[in-house]
Amino acid sequence: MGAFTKLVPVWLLRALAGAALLALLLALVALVGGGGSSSLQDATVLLLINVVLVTGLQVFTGNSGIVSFGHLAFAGVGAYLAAILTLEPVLKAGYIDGLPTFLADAHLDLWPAIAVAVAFTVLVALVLSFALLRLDGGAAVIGTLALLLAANTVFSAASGITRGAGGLATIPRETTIGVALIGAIGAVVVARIFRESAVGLRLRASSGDALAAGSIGVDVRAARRWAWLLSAAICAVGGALLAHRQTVVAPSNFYLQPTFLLVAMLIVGGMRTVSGAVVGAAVVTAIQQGVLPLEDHALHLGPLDLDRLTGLTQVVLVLAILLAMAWRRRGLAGDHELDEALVRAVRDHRPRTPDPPSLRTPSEIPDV
Amino acid sequence: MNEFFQQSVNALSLGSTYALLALGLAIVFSILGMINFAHSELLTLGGYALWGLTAAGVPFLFAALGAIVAAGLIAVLMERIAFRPFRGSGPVTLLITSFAVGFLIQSLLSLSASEEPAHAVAIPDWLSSTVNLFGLNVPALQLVTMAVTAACLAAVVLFLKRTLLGVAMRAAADDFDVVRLMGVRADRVVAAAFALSGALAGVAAVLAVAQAGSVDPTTGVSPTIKAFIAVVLGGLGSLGGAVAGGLLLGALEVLLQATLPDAWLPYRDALVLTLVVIVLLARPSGLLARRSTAEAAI
Repeated sequence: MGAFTKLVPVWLLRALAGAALLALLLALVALVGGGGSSSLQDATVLLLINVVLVTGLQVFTGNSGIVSFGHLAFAGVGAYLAAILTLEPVLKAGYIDGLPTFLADAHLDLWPAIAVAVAFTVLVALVLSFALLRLDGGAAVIGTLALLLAANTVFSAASGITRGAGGLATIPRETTIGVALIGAIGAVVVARIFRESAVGLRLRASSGDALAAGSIGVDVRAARRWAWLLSAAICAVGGALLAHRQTVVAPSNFYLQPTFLLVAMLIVGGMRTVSGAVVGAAVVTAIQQGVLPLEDHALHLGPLDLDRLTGLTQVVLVLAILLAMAWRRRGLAGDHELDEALVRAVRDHRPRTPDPPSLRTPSEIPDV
Repeated sequence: MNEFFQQSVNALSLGSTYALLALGLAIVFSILGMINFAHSELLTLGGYALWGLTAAGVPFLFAALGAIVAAGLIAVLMERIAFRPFRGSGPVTLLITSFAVGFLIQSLLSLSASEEPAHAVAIPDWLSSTVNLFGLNVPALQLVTMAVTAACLAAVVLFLKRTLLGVAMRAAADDFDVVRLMGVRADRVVAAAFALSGALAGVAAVLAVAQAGSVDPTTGVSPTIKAFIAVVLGGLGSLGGAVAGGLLLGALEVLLQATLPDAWLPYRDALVLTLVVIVLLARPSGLLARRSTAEAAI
């Protein structure tokens, strides 16, 4: 064990073990969902994609403590670029007329396309980080909101590349349950490793008290930048998977409504842990899928006379957030990862061994 | 010259709406350190109050007054019911709570308005006419917007400088604990801040709805996002900064709208935000930042 932990540090082992537990749960969900009806399969893919997106957001928000409303901008960049790369050049000609030739002629498989999209998104995030990460506290939150607004403007305006508000269609449907599962497991592993790494630990320390962390030599801004870039990369993967699930992407997929869902998942599950992100994605997706069909129903209740219940899903989710704020402010998962909570539960249930004798009173000291 | 005058009027009237909203946000932030994401719903509900009152036959001016009072009351209620239980539990909790409350109001509105998404509001003729000013035709609404905003700002300044409650609010922005030690009741100061913030949103609602001619569940969202940005541009927590940020943001939007080539016009908001970011790169805590606190040193 000693030689092994020299090779692989303990924190990495712990991170991998925790990620393996979550991966097992995700695989179980994929297995159960994949065996069900086609609508259940579709919901399962959506759940796994949501796990990717929320985990991406968690890497930044959960570790730094700065709530970001802007991460779907990265998902959008990833989605559009990956979609353009997987579209057949024949389909692109005449349909998307603002592309530079190397993009118009490009035709990649899903994973290489995602790799390119991630690389580009990280570049965008790097440029933005010089401006946005200078802001702190409330100003940083509003800065991320401004990023969302700016991204939405660009997605809508650059119609030669994105087809504008109508959306980019005919994207090949390549996000199967297996593909989404690989994405979700990858996101969880990366996020968990980052959380336990030295940079992640420093960042979590700074979220508790940025001044104190700075005073013991933590480079808060550098730590935030690492989290920012990594979370942008994960969100880009999520966006690309989303684009190849719904075969159409529009700017509204990456604006306020979906951002609300994403933040709801993070808050309900608990933003401090990767387990929380996974739990939140599962719970909120389940609520959403369960309530959404009810929106088409009419409600006639005394004076209330509604033909359609548009927005019912949101009402239910908002109530879930408010309940979480009132009773479980740190989310369903709380402060501990699933594996940590399990270890603690086992430790607490083990019969206590009596404390080893340490100090003896003088009367107990035998005479020599 | 005429063009310049007309665009200046455009800039000032657009900036006025942003300034009113930004000032309301800054008043609450300066005292509670809370970004009220439900502020946009105050604007929306103010618009609905205006629609309801005018539809019931109340003359426009009284309906406008009613909408302003309603927005103020709703803000106080919002604080009492939703925010007070979380007071002192950290900025993130308050932020998320207000975010949820805002979305709750918005989705309840769209739930009840699903048949008729937008309600048309009858605007009196005198408000939608144009006025001949120095040989130029200026929409009366723009003049009213500027005059009303100026009057509101003057009233807020007088209130904050001359009344006991106003002085207590300014002091609370500096150090709430000391103000409470002086025997000022915290709940009164906070309620007053929300009432003022809500009333200003109500004024903005009347002006915005008079401009748009209708109100729907998302009426408040877009102007309020701009107001958030104006607040950061001016310096989070500074009241003067919020007003200056609002006016500057309005001016930037009108300037780009007037000068950008047609092909670039759809990108206007993104370019405005880029300019804001450049300003913030030079001054990360905003144009008129409050005396830098320890946190700003990071």
